[in-house]
Amino acid sequence: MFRTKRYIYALLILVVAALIFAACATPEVIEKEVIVTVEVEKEVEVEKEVVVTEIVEVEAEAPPVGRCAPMDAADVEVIKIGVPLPMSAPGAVGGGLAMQYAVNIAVDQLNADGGVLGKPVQPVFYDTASLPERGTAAMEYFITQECVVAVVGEYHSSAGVAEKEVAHKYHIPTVFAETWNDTITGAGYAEVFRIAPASSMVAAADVNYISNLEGIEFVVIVTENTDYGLPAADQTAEALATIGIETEIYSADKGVADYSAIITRIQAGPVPDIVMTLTTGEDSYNFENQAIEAGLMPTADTICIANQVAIQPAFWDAVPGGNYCSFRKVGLVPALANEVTQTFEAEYRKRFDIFPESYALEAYDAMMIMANAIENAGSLDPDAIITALEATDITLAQGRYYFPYGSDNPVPDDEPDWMWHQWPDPAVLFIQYFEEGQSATDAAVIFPEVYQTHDTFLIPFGETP
Amino acid sequence: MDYITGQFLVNLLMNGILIGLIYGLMALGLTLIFSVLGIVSFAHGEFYMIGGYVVYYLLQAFGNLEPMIAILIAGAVTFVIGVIFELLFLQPMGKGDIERPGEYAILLTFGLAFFLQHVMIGIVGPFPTKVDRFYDFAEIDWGWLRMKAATVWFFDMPISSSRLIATGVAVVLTALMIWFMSKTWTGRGLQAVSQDRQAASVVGINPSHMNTLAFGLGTMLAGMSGAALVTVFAWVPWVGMPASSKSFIIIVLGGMGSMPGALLGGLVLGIVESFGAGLYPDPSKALAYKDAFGLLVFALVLLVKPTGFFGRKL
Amino acid sequence: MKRIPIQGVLLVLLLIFAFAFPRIMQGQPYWLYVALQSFFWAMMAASWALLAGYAGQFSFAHIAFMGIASYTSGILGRDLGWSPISGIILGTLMAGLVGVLVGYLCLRLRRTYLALFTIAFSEIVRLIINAEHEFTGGPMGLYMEPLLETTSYVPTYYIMLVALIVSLAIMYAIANSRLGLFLRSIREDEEAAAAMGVHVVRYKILAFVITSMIAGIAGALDHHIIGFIAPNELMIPRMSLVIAMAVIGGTESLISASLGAIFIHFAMEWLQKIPVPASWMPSLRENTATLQQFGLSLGEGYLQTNAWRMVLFGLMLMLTLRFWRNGLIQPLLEKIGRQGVAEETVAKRKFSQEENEIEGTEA
Repeated sequence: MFRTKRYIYALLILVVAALIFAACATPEVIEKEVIVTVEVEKEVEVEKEVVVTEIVEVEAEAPPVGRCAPMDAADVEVIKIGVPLPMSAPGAVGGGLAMQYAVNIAVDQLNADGGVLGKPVQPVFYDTASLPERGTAAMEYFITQECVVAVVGEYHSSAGVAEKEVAHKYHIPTVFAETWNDTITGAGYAEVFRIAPASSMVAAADVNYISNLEGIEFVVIVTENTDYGLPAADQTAEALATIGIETEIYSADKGVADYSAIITRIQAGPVPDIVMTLTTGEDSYNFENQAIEAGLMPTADTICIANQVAIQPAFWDAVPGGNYCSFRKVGLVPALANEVTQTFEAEYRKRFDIFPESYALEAYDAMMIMANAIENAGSLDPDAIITALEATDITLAQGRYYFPYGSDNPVPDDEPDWMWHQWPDPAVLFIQYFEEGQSATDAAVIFPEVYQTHDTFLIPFGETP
Repeated sequence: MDYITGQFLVNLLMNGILIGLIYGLMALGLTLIFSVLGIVSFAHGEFYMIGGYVVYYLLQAFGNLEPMIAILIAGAVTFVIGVIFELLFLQPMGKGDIERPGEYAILLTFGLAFFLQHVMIGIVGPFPTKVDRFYDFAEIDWGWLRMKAATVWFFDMPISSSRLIATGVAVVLTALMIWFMSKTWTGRGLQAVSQDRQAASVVGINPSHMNTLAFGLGTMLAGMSGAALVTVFAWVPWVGMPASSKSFIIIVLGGMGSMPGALLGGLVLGIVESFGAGLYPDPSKALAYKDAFGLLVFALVLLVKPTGFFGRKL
Repeated sequence: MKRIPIQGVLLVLLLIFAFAFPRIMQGQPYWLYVALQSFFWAMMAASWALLAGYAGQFSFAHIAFMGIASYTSGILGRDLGWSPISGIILGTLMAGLVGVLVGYLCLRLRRTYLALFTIAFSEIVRLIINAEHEFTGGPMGLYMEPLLETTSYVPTYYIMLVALIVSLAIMYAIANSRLGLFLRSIREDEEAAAAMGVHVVRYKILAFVITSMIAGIAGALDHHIIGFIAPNELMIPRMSLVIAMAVIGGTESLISASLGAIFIHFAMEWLQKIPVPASWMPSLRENTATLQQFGLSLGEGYLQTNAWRMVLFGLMLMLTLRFWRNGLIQPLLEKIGRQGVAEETVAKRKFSQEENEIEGTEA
């Protein structure tokens, strides 16, 4: 026992010493930071000899130690852009890998066309696994180790909310591709842009479509309880309530393969006019297939709105009875699909042989938007890039991108906070199959009215247009 | 609450029985592994996943291949992987070199699960695939029994035909396993080893060979159940994780190491989940808690009667 | 103690290095951040090693205790405006309280059954947090008030480091006290321990309480530093990561378990990309398309292996278990310390001595 006690005493002394050391060490480092600030000041003075007001600004916004992004393209061999993505559990590995491939396609195209500012672009990937802690690590890594000039990507909001803080701290322009959480742009950071359609926008579009249909009184929404599904379902239900439509929401954990209990429960209640699927990926296939086999949808009484992954040919393997299901597609109409979309799709199919998911399109577009902004900025200076991003006006795979609200045009009071640096109007289409095994390009466009291919908002069950 | 009618409850029960038999099929291999090696394999779901992919790619390559043969091939592939793993990693356990074999095996198979899952993500990619039902049913309308290609209505209760085929496979495989274990020399050898290793080696059975065989058979059953269920569920490389946890619940419910227990445990789990999700008052959370109902029953059974329904005393 | 063991010297050197790390890594906030996160994992792995390695309770509930403490603190801060410090304290107590419950329920369960039961417990906790989103934030996550109003990682680094050292000291004291002895006796043979007069019930529950409180404080502290928590962090693969860290380090010693955690955490960072010799670059560049097909991406002199490092990790876990059963770090420490007295032998000798003492007193 005696010996043990001596160990404890020794450790205790060490701890106390450590505490003292820690107490002493912290201020020293802060002192160092101050010195660095002074250095920055000097540099600026040399560069911009006359403008005194700017020096004051720099002093106030001196970036923290560690930021090593080049300010001038002439200083570097390659322009590095950080890409945080989920590539291991508990993140959505599928989303991450698809987005990685999409970013690589964008970079290959950029470099084939001579790069940005005459320099090749190089993406730096980092696995964030959907975790906030990994998100912070990713951004610190990009900014202080790889000296990236900008960041694009991310799939999960949970990682995104942490990433935006670091982007703000180091003043690094960032375009989020597929993070839905309102707070990401809602924080109003100068550096943070988002092209993922906020869930309430898509909900508004869904409701807009449903309002065109006749005799709809009761809608059942089956959603996944993730940061995508729950807000989307709530917002859709809210918006439907404003036009007097009743809703019932069923939320399921991801990976629940068997939905039969819930399908039985829906069938025991009043017959829904619409069953809407907000689960994604394999979960949506499982629910749709089981609901169709049980005769819940689509029927003469119940309209089937499948999840957007129904656009894939795999839909017909997984949901053989899915004829007359409609689904939402964010992006351009097939008829109006531009060259960008087609070239990208062709490249993408080389790897996965499926229609690119919306997150793949977003990842591609995010990289292209950032490259375009850097090119327009004419330098790697973050302020110039942000100004260029705010002035974005470019048509890419998902449509025409622009950011209406920014530093020149603050978000008005009647718009939600998250409209800051947010792409406001993703084109939302509704497409409906009317033949078994039909390809998505042959299917009918039923919404919006201007693009309708068969002059109807809904092909009734069992009829051929 | 007005949706709760007699018909509704019967439908829930029927759903529970069907999915329960399917769960039982998932757990069949794990229970064999546990009875002989005394370990729980965390990689069980990954063998199940591989079995499904083998069938998927076989049917992609040879469109007119008889599905039952594809299932057998899937079983053979997972058998081989299982045997190799057992020989490389689990052998020292049988020799008594490992202090705490239960924990050692959990960790090892967890590492294997991680490895297999991520290798498969790299190879097959992350997007869902599925195999269409093996057989289309003939169209029949007898009033009480109506059949269409994808669905059977039994007294107006819809039953998916792919599930029906899968439960058929489950029942046949269980019957075959029970026959194998009780009537063949090898099966009896396995049973002998599971009851008393030393006594078995005295009468000329090599326990270490039996370990390898049992693990291989267990992974084979996992692969075959995946091969049958790839027609029921959409398939992704991480489809095995929920299958593993369902199997753990089942083998505990049924009594670790008992074959009929696995089917019964599956039934109990299926029915509990079905009634839990069907009757939970708040519809928006009913399905979110579906796994929790099963886990709760599982935890209670562990606390009250750890040996399960059919288990012998350990 | 007659001679200074080399391990003691090593420990002091390690401590000095740890305290000097922010000075060495000046202007490298990334490595500082990785280091401070690795201390969180080290606390988790070491406390799990105490529970599993010393007391023989192979539990998967650790990550749930971490989550319970973090969420308690986060919700108290959000709804009642509690400061992070008081939130952390109450969260830790909460984890301890649930620890009593789980410890009590687990009394009869051994080995595999215990593992399965605690998996079920963790999953139920995660499912509840996920489903009750009106209260917990659910999958949208929960904002936690930051511990310090600073963007520098230096102060938070020291906070985590001190928390790690203090918790290691406490656990070391426990492991080397009579209590630790009782725990090991329970691990070796519960019936025999009970027969010798060890109060099995009390010590088993105590082991659960202490280790779950350490997991709780680690989680609550860390999530107040990150500022956000989501239920994904409570998934079983994350728990398995803790266990793998402890196993690769060595569960028989707290120091090796925590060093294992720090090593794995850094290794997972390094393996995001692996350097490639310049001579390979041309041939690799020709095959860029193939590489990209398998989720590999080519950089300047390196290959990005983000997704594939999990394959390596699985393989490493299997090989470690198969061939280095005491972990990778513990044998290393022993080898270095062989000139003095190896930790293991000291422990064993002390063990047998004290065993004699107990027998003596009881006789």
